Amino acid sequence: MSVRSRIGILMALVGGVGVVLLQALRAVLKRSLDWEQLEESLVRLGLHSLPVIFGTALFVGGIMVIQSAPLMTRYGAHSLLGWGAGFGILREVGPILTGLMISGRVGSNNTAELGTLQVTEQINGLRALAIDPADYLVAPRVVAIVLTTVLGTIFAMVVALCGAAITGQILLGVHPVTFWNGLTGGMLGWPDFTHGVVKSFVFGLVIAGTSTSFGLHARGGAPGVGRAVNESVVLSAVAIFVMDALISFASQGH
Amino acid sequence: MIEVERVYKSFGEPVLRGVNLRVGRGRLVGLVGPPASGKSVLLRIIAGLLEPEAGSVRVDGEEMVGLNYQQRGRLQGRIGMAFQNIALFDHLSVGENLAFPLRRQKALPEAEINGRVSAELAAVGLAGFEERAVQGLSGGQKRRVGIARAAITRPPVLLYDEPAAGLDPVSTSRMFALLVDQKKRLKSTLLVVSSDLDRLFEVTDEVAVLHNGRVLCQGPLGSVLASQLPPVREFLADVRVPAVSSVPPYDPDSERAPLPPGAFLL
Repeated sequence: MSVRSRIGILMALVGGVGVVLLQALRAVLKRSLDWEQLEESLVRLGLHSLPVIFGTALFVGGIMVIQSAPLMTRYGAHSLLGWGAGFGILREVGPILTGLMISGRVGSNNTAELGTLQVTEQINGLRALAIDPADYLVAPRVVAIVLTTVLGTIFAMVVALCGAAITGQILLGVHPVTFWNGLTGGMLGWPDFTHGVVKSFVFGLVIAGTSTSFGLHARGGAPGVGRAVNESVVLSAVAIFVMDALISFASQGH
Repeated sequence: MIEVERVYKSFGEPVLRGVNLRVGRGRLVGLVGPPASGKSVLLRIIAGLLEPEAGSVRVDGEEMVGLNYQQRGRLQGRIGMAFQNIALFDHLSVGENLAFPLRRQKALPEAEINGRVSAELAAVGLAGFEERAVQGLSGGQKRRVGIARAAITRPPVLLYDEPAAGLDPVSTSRMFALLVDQKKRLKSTLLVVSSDLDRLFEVTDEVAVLHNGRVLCQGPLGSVLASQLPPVREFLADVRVPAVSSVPPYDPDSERAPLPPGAFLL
């Protein structure tokens, strides 16, 4: 495949994601999105993801303390445990972890559902009934995925910090009040929290746009849907890390 | 009424090469042709699901080509379409599938929507199927639900793509009788694509033969069968002329009639 055609495919991918996001934005601004579908998507894609986010965030918070425990003990820096855990969780681990979880669970599900609707002509069926798929399918899912990623990230941050505090108490004997003081002692602030939330918003857009676009462009029956899911999840994950790097770089004032 | 003039469409290769077709108000026209001649693509263009590269498609005098999404959606409200692979919404029950377009239109009260759904299901021989899951239906039942859904908004134009595909001869006869019943009951204009030429020709007012992306001839069955064009003669060589229609008038109760031993419905 020539460089030119590779660039063409990349442009088509980016264009597809852009069209999906613009359609969703238009439906939101016009308030024409289907509220029942949004509610259903929020419950199915969002609420049902909470147990998975809870489990992984709790253990990741604990693992961060387990990994840093030898250094903390060697330098007697137990009072910095809250700051260290908070810095990592609020700025990186919370959004990245949640983004990848949502991409794997919600994004793949979204691509598979839309892909199946596409290959079985149910989307054409909607259009034949004069129903705009952008209002009925695209916008509710995009909004639900973005909201799920942002709110899920905040939830993951809280749970991961709790996991870190619990593990710090058990493993290092750091009292939760000491952990809390390290967290709120002035070295961390709202900008760190906002940094993580902005990342989660961008990751949400990436996951929603990619998974919806790949689902809507699925072709070739069940194998085509499988390919679309695979490509969507891989591309979402890569895009999440690329966007993470760009946002981190930009936020350093470069 | 449907008027198609000089419509061109290609997907890399040309599929439609200047199609002309006219379906008069209240007529049932059969669109036939060899595989890959562009029948389904033409139906999708008329339904506004595909945009042609050139040409004109008018539905009841209103141009479909070149409209923006909203304008096209308004015109699509006048068209009902049933797809070859049925395309029912899996996540909805049978009743919800039928009620879906009506609920989206928000033009009728809920009681009237439910009444119309029940009436339309009864009309296709599926009375009492409102709560059934789509996945639990047989192929023939799904097709009838698709036909009922296409007609639920009482559109003046109905497009059917292979409505009898995969059905046994008895069910095929009933399906075509159902189309005739719809035409009379709803006074709609029907354009039907079917590969079952014998059955189709028993119920059509006119036939249009599409070959290699062009409508080679259109008219009453007799005149089409008398065509001297080689592709038409070759395509219709094995068709038997229906002296008397073997398609009985549609009777919804016949769907529930006991079958002879060993027989089954699809």
